[in-house]
Amino acid sequence: MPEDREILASEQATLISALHGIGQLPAGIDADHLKLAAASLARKRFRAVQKTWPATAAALGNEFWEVSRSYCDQHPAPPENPFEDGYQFVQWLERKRMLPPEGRVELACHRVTGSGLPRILYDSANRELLILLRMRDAVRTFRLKLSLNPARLFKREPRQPRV
Amino acid sequence: MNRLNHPQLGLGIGWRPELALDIERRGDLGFVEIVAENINPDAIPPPLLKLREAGVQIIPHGIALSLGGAEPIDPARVRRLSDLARRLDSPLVSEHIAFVRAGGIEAGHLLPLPRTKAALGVLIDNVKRARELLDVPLALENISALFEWPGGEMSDAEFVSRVVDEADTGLLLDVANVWANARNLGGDPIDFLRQIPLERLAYVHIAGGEEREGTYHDTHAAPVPQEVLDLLAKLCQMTSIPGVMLERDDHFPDSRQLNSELDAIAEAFAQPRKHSVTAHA
Repeated sequence: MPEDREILASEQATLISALHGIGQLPAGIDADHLKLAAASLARKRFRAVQKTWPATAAALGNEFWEVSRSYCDQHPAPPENPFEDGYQFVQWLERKRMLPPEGRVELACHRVTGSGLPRILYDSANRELLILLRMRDAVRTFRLKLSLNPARLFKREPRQPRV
Repeated sequence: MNRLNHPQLGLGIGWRPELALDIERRGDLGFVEIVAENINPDAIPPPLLKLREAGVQIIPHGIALSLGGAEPIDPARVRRLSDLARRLDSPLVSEHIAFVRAGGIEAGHLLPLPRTKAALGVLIDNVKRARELLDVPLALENISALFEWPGGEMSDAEFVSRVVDEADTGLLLDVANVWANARNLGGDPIDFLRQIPLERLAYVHIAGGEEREGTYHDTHAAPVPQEVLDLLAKLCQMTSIPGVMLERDDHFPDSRQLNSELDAIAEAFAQPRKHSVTAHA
């Protein structure tokens, strides 16, 4: 019986590692089936992330599933908590400059919650300055509409010559 | 578990916060199932307590015991199931014929076991240990798998039958998993039903999934396919089942869709029993 457990332990550990893309495939298991199981695992993992990071997931649309799959390949062992998994994923997107504006706001919100320090973001699509503040237990977002486009400060259009 | 005296549960559903209002409004539910790992025994959501007061039975359903794992089971996880059962006055608890972790890595998924005598022995040993720590009966569920281990010494039906018989537990039969496995890995779902000890049936799961690249994934995120409802109807003709419940975990339907799905399940559940097909191998 103890030997049975030892053999099973090694078989199961090899299998889980293979599902996470680590080590060799266990002998005798159909590689295509295992690939399917790994894809299904990644999808399940990111369904949980989708729920804890809804704005980022919604903003990415279908791309969320493609990007998360490649993230899973590079980060096989997730933390147990889906929020933390998503936090690391969103920061990875930020480093790769792939985080959509809604995701930047969501990330900033959680950072303000965590640190208590306010954050300022610029939303170029709406020309708004976002100020995120923690007030009691919630993060509040104040939006300042800019009448001046900051991009124009740096890129002056040539003046029309007077006729 | 007294094999002839399973509690009558009737029609049920997996309780999720997103469905809480529809569940509360539906008057004919006999039971709900909760995912044990998602509910804190010290902070049970008020809607659940309200259901309990209204006479709806609540079954804690574990997903992380890893009963088929090579590592000994964690008594703290079993105690959580037991605590929930005690606080909710549950008639039974349930878990899976699967493993979810090994070598310190969480799979995040229910994984199938090698169908060998050695793996069966470890599983039965773990189940017996869990039963010692539980005050209520335990029912074990068949899972859906996307791959099989090599060197199987018995069929899926035989493996499931032997564990529930030898560890003396109830059977939580997931008809969607039976259908998905037959579709993805081969086999006849009716044969599976004929080969398992239906007298151990504690209740039945049914759910929908989605087809992706030629494989059926049991996602619990879509309506139940007609073929799975047909399989439930077939099962209800073979034996009288104590209860059946819908599992819906994502892409939640609106009230009308949810109710029509529950109605379809209730209709299959009400199938008149045909004694002639109750052949138990």
